[in-house]
Amino acid sequence: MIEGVHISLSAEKILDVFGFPLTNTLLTSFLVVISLMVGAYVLGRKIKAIPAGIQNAAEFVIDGLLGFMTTIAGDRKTAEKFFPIVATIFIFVLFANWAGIIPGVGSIGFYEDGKTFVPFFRSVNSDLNMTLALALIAVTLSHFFGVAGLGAFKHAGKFFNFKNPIGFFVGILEFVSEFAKIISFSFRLFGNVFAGEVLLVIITFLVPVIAPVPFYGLEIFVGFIQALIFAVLTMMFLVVATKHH
Amino acid sequence: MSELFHNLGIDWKVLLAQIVNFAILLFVLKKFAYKPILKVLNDRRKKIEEAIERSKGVDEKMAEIEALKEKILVEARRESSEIIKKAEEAADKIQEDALKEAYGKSEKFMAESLKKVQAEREKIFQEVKNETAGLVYAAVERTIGDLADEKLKAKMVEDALKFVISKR
Repeated sequence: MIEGVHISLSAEKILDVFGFPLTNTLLTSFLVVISLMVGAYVLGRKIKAIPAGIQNAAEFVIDGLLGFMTTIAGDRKTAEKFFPIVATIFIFVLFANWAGIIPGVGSIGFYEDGKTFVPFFRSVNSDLNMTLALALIAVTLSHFFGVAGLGAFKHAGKFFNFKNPIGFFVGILEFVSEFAKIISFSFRLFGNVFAGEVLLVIITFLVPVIAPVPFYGLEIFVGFIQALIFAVLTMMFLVVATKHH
Repeated sequence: MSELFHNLGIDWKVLLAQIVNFAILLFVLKKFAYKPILKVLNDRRKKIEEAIERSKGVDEKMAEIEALKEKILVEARRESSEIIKKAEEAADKIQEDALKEAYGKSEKFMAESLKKVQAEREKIFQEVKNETAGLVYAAVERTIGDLADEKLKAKMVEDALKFVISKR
């Protein structure tokens, strides 16, 4: 029975554009990014002092997110400084995760070589390329702001400390943890979303109607939580990187 | 290593594309969503803060005005009561003066009239005396005019006058 389920760890290639592999996750990611950009443009054009309609919702989200980030950063100024990065991570991951639950994602596709099924769309974060990209962005930016905030010498001093043996080992641990950060960042998100996808595929395969509904609800929740976790951790790393010790 | 990456589906071209994707999204969201919305939110917050500050100032002013009003009222009340007191005092004095004057006048009048009455009485009495003396002398003259000498006559008149005086 389970033979009917095809699960691929990596994203499937749909097209090859001059040597560039256009995968289904990349396509989905394009669509998510374009929809968000169009949404932001439409919203941003008519921002008024007295909010109305969709502006209320946008304000609610942004104000809520900023308030939450302020509790993590400690003060509003720091929170506002890193807000664009963190909020974009949150919004993008959230909508990417939710877009992965839309009917048709993972089910509309074609048969490659008449044998293996290749969906056109696949949940964006069920591809390590995406989560690794986000992790690299988050960690790289934390180093960038660390250098910008403390100076290159002082920032490097966190990892290469020759003043005393304890400091030296702590520095090495810090250095290793930077790579661990990238891996934990990317695999946490990938693992959660990919597992969710697999779960939905299997449940839908076993009992096609009704049974998957609670799992869809679960995926909506997990998608939100993972987006929040990614954003919060990024915020924390950014704040820690720019703090004086 | 590259085998592992391949098995995990990691492709640096796709990875790079995702990074660019995200960067573009970040830029657009920052420009069209975060900046204007945060500006509006901060402006609104500032406005509310200002309004609260202003209303606080107004409250303070109101309290000041209230205190001033109270002070003025107390002053006015005190002044008015003082004025009333003074007026009452003045009225009392006037009344007293008038009363005193009236008393004085009436007393003087009484004394004068008493004097007048006494003078009148004295006059009448003198007249009665003279009359009596004349009458007694005439009666004595008529009855015992031939027998009595002038000395007796005078004595009898004197006795009659003494009697009249004693009856006074």
